[in-house]
Amino acid sequence: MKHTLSLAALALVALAGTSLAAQNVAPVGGAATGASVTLLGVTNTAGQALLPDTGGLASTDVDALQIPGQVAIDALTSITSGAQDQKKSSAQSVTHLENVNILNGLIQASTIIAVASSSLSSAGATSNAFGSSLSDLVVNGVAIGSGDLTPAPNTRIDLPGTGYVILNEQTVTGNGVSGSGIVVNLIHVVLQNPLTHLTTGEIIVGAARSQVGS
Amino acid sequence: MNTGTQWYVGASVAALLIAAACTPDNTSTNPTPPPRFSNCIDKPQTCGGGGIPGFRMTGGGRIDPAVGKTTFGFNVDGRSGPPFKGEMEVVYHGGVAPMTRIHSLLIDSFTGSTDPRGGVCGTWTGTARVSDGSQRRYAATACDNGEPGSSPGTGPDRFGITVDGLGSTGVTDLTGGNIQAHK
Repeated sequence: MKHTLSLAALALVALAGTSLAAQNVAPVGGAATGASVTLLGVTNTAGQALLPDTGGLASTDVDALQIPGQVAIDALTSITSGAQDQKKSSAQSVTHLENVNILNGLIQASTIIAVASSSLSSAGATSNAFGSSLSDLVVNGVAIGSGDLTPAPNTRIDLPGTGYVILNEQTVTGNGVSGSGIVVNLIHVVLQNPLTHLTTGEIIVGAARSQVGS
Repeated sequence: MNTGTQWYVGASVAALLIAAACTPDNTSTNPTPPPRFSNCIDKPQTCGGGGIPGFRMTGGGRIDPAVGKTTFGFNVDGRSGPPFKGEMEVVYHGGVAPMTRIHSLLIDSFTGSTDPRGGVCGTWTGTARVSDGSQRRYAATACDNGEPGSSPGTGPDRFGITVDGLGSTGVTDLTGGNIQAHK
């Protein structure tokens, strides 16, 4: 009887330990998306890979993506990966696009690479978009830089009669201690009514998101 | 379609070392585990049978080898095989050629080693599906040199892949993303 009780007590302690350990594992999250178009409140998303919150890897390949009149992409691959444990966790997402044409040539790029990376360790939590770039970018007929370009975060360029575009749009979340996250949209077009300037839709091309902790 | 792109043109010495020393069997698609490496890219004395016991590795991001841009993601459990659980996808995009995608089908070896920068490296081999329709042997190496992985002044982490008949990126510093080894 004594032994049975001792074993039961040990089992309870072990279960409690397991439960505490599980609570200490930081969740991870991530998504890599080739393109999404929202018009009239309806969003169409293409080439998206979603990371399970327990980690792992997800990837998606798309060739010859066409959203008529909005987006054309010769090829894209979206990859997101991550892992969690008690000492450190990470999530990273990458979208790699080739020959991008938005709004019938209004915006073009030969290559778009969006990278989002988040990590959590005893030193804290951090996120960044290092490695994100656009190649041979042309906006409204004007070449923006030459070759590979990483615009300053949240660079806005007006598109007369159409709206505006934000290049390298970045949104950072988390407290930097127990969690951190970042969303990177390399091209975010906001469509506006030319008279009222009310937003009528949006196009996002080359998006990556990563998140660790809470 | 990308046929025969030679990535190793202009690539680093490390690439040649990987191709020469760390690709044990470039012709077979047999899932039988290949021989353990007798030497490896950075610390020959720590590779093969004398290497670090198995561990998990995860990572993703971007490298910019001498020729072309490469993005990647992987999640490999070096304790689980052979064959080892996990998955890897790599996209190579050089010059005007269309992107080449490499997706692992099988991971049949995993070896741990140390990086001269103080971190931990994992090298795994297997068979991959390539976007030209072929299946080829590959060897990939990833090194975790700290967090956050691609910051100037920290690490950086490194990644490289050699694909039989296509070439090698060389083991190259990350310009974006992160690699983590989990023991």
